[in-house]
Amino acid sequence: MHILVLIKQVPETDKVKMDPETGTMVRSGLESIINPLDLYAIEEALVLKEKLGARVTALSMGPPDAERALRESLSMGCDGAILLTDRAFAGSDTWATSRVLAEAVRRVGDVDLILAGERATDGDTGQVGPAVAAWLDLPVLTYVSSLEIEAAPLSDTTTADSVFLHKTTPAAIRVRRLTEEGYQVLEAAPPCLVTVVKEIASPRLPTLRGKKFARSEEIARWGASDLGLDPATTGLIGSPTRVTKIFYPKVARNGLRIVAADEAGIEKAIDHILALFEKKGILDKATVEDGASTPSSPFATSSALSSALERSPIAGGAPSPDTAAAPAKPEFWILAERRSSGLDIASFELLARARALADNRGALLAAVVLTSALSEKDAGALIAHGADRVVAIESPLLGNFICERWVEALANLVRARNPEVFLAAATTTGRTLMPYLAAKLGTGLTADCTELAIEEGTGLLLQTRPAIGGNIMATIKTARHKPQMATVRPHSMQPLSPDPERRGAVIRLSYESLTKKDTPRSPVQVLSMESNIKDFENLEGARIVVSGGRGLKKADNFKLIRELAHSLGAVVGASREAVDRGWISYSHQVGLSGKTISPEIYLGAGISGAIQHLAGIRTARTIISINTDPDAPIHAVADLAIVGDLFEILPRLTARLRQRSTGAAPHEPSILSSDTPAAAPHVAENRADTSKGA
Amino acid sequence: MTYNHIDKQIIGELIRIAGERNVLLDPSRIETFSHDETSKEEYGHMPDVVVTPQSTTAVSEIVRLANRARIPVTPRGAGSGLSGGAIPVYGGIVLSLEKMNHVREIDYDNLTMTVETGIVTNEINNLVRDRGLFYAGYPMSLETCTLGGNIAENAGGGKAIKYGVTSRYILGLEFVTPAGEVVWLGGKLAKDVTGYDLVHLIVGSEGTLGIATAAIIKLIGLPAAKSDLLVLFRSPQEAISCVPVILSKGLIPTAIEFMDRRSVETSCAYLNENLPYAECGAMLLIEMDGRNPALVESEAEAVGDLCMERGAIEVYVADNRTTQERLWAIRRNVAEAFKVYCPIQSLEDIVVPPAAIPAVIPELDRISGQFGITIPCYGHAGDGNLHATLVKDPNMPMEDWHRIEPLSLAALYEAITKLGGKISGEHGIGLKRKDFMKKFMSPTELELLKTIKRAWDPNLIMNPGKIFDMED
Repeated sequence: MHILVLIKQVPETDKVKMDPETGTMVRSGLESIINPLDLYAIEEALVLKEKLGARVTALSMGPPDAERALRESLSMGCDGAILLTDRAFAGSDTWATSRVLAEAVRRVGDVDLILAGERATDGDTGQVGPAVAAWLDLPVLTYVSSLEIEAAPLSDTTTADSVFLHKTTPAAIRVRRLTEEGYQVLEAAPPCLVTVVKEIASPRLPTLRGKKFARSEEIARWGASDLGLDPATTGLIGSPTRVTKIFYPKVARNGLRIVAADEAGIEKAIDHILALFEKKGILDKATVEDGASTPSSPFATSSALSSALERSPIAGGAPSPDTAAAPAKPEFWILAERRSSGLDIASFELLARARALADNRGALLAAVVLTSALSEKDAGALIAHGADRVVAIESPLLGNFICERWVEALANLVRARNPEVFLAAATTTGRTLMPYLAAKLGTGLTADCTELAIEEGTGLLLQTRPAIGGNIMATIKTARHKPQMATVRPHSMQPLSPDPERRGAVIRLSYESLTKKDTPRSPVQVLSMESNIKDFENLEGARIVVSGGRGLKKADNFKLIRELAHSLGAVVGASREAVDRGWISYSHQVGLSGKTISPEIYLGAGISGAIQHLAGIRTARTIISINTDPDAPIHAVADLAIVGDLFEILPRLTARLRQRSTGAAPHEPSILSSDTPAAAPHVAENRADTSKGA
Repeated sequence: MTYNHIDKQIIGELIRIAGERNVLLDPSRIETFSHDETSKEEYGHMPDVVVTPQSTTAVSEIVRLANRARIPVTPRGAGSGLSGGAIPVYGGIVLSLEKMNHVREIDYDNLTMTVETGIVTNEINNLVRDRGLFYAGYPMSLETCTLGGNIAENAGGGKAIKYGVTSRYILGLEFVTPAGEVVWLGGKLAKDVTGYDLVHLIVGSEGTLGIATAAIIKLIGLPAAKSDLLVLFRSPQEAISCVPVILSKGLIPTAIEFMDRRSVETSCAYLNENLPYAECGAMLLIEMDGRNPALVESEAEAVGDLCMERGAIEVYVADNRTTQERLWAIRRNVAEAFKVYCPIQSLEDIVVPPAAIPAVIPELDRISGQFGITIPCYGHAGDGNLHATLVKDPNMPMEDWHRIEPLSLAALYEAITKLGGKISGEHGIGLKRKDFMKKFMSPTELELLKTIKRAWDPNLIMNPGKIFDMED
C-alpha cells in the first residue's frame, strides 16, 4: 500500500504578518512548523504502516524552506518526501495549489490513499483537500475521526519486493466522519482522499533515529516543468481569487471588567452575568426550549407557512429548467441543506444574506437543495425566507451527503444555468462540497466568509473573511470566473422574518436527468449514521456556548460547566488544552483546530484565551470570560470580563439560574412568545406560528 | 524580638516621604502583602502598613525612619517566593519595590543594563531581545517575578548548568543599608577585588542585610537556536549516569531536567500525553542552545547518541517551538498535576552533588513509605537541585499532615545532608526552613552569619525572622 500525506508548512499562528502590498503572508523571519492538523494525518499514515505495511510519502508545496517540514515528517517515520517548489507557484490560492498537488499525485502514480489535515491553521480554508480529490476524480472523505482499512488478500503473483512495500492492497476504506449531527460511517473503494481531524490519532514525536534518517534522505524537488504545468497558469496569475484588501479587525471589546475577589465582587459578577442573559432574552428561552435543541425545527413545523403554501398558486408546479429560465436576470444561488430535523437554520441565514446581495445586483435568488425528496413545506419555507426559486434535485441517492455524487449533479446544473454567485454555509457539507465543485468548474472559492457585499461598478462579489487565526480580515474577489463561490460562516447573520405572501417557483429535477446516468455508481457508500452519541455537541448550531478550559483542573470539574450549560439550554465547549488532556471529547473543541463558532453568547471559564482559541470565538456576539488571572487574554476580548474563581462563581450562577426557572413556574407553560424579547425574533415568530397552528 | 508599634505620627512621616497614594493601610488592600506562594494559613502575617516608594531617596528615608523608630521593614518584590521570605512576620512596614521598575540605562558598549529592582525579570528580556541580547540570570523566569526577588534569593532555575544563577549576572548594586545610607557597590566591571565582595554577599541574603534598589546587570548574546531531547531511561541510575558523561565531552546543555517515574506518570496522565513510558523509570529533558542552528543540532545529536550508548530506551528530538512546548509541558506540569492529586504539599528544592541524585531516590521512597505520603522527585539534574515535593495523601487528616510534615522534612534533610547536600538550592531559607538551619548547619557557620547580620543591622529591623532567629 502506498499512502501519500499532504502536508503544509505554516507559520506559528501567533506571530503572523501580512504584506499589505500583495495581501499575502510574510513568511520570512517566522518560525515554521508542520500544520498541526497535518500531524494527525502523518500519525494515522504511520499507524497504518505499522499495522498493515505501507510506504508513506509526504508531499508538500511551498517555498524551498518547506523542506524543513518534510524532514520533520521523515523523522517521525515517513519513508520519503517530495517538495513542490517553484517561483511560479508563489501566491497560489487554494484552487491553484490543489491543481499543482493533484498533478504531483498523478506523477507519483501508484497511490492507494491520500491523507491530509482537515485544514491548515494559517489559511484556515479546508479547501485544498477536497479540491485535490476533485482534480483527480477521487472520492473525498472529510472530517474523518477514525479510519479502518480492509485488506485484500495477497495474490499469488506478489513478489518479495512488493510484499515489503505493499504488504497490503486495500480493498475498502471505512471511516467515521464528524458532522454536525454525529458521525457518518462511510465506506469507500480506494484510492481516495481523506482529510482528518484531531480525534483520529495522537501524533508521535520525532526520534533521534528518525532525525538522522531524515537528514540523510534525499527530498525530491519538483517544479512547474516537472509537472508539465505552464508557469503562466500557476501561482498568483493562475489563481481565480485575488485578495484585494487586508485590514485588521478590532479585537479588543473593552468590555466591563469586574473583580470578583470577595463576596461582594462575586455577587456583583453573577448579577451582571444574569442581567446580560436577561438582556439577551436567554433566560426565558432556556425555560421554554428545555435544553439545546437545534433551532431549525420551528421552520420545519411551521404550519402557518404550510397553509401559506397551500394558497400558493405555483407550489407543486415543476417546470423544467429550460422553461423556467429567465436569462435577462443574473442568478444568485445558495445551497440549502437539510438535516434530519428539517432545513438547517444556516440555510435561512444564507438566504437573508443572499437576498440583500441579489437585490443589490438585481438578480434572481435560487435555493438549491439536494435531497431524497423536498417537502412542499420546506420549499415554501425557503421561499418565505427570501428565495425567488427553489431548485430541488431529488433522488433516493441524494438522501445522504456524498460529495462526488452531489457534485456530479450540481456541476451540470451550474454549467447549464451559469449562476453569477453560488453560496453555501460553511458547514461540514458546504466546506467539502464547494471546493470539490469549484475545482470541477474551474472557478475560485472563498472559505468561511463573515461579510459579503457587491462591489459598486463591477457588480463583483466582495468576499471578506478572517484569516490567520482571525488576526486579519481579507477581502477577496473572483473577478474573471463564474460563478463566484463562497462559503459563509453560520450565525454571522440573522434569517429574515418569513413572509408567507412571497411567491416563487419550485423546480424539481431528478438526479438522473442531470447526470444522464441510469445506475450511478459511486465508490462511496453510507453505512450508517451515528447520532445521539454521548458527549457529542453541535457547537456551530448553538446559540449559547459555555466552555471550560485548563482552569477546571480536572475532568470531573467539567460538571460545573455541564450544569451551567444545562440550566441555560447551552452547548458545552472546551479549550484545546482541556480536550488534549482528555477531559472532554474533541467534538467540544472551540478554536483553530476545533470549531469556529458565532453564538449569541459565549461564556468561557478557566480559559486563558490562547490566540487559537480566540480565533474560534471572535465572531461571537457576546463574550463573557471568567478567569482568575487579570492578564488572561480572553478578558481583553470579552464584553463582560470577570476576574474571579470559576469554582466560586459557576455553582452559584447555576443555582441562581435554577432558582429563577423554578421561581418562574407560573409563567412557564404559556411563554410561547408573547414576551420573548427581541434577541431571537425569528424563533419567537415561528413559535407563535406553531402555537396558532396547534 | 520586640519592636515599636506604628503610630499616627509614623504614618504621617511615611506619607510625607512617599506620598499619600504610596502608603496603604486598608486591610483589604494590604492583605495580599501578608503572604507569598507558601501556604497563607501556615505562614501568612499581616503588615501594619505597606509603602510603595518611587525613588531610592524615598526608600532610604523610610528605612532611616524605621531604624530610628525600631520598626521592622520587610522588602518585597512580586511576592512569588517559595520560602516565606517576603512575609512581615513581625508586622511593621512592608516596603514593596513594585513602583521602582524603571530602566535607567542600557549600555550596549559594555553590555550592561542598569535597572531598578522592581522590574519584572521577563520585561528585561523583552527590552533587549530585538538587539539579540538577553539577561541569563534567571532564564526560566516566571511572568511575574522581579529582579529584586531574584537578587534576594539568588534565584537559579532550570538553565543554571550552562548560564549559572542570578549572582553571575549582577555586577553592581545601588544599596540602601539598614541605617538608611545609600551606597553603590561593584560597577560595570568584569573583575573587582577591591575589598570584600559585598555585592555577592547581598545577592542571596534574602533582604536581611538591606535593600537593593537598582542593579547593574550583565547582558549576553541571545542564542538563536535551540534543540531539545527527551530521553527515556529504565532507571534513575541510568539517567543520572549520563550527565557526567555528557559534560565531560565538553557538551554543555542549557538544561538537564530529571523526572522520576512517578512525576512522568502523573504529568503525562494529567496532560493526556501518550508517550510510551511504560518501561520508563526516569526521563531526562535536555536542552542545547547556541547561535548556529546546525551546530546546535549536531551537538544535540551527540548528546542523544551518548544517552543511547548508555542504555536509553528512546530519544525524542524537538527543534521547533511547538514540539519543544510539548516536551517541556511534561516537565512544567509535574507540580500542577500533583496539585490536582492533592493541593496540600511542601515544595522543596534540596540540592545534592549531581552524582548523588540516584542515591536520593531510594531515600525518598523510604521516607514516603514511612510517613504515608507521596514524594515525586523532579528537577535540575545538571546541578543536583531537585524538587522533591512532599504531597499529602488526599485522605490524610490535616492534623496528621501538620504532625508529619516537619518530621518527614527532617528525615529528608537528614538524608540529603549525609549525601553532601543542602536543604535549599534556589528558593531560600526564609521563614519556612529556618527551624532546620540549627540542625543542618554547623554552629560555627551559623554564628558567622549572625555576626554579619549584627554588624550590618544592629537594630535588627531588616526583614527580621528570616533565615535564622538571632535569639537562638
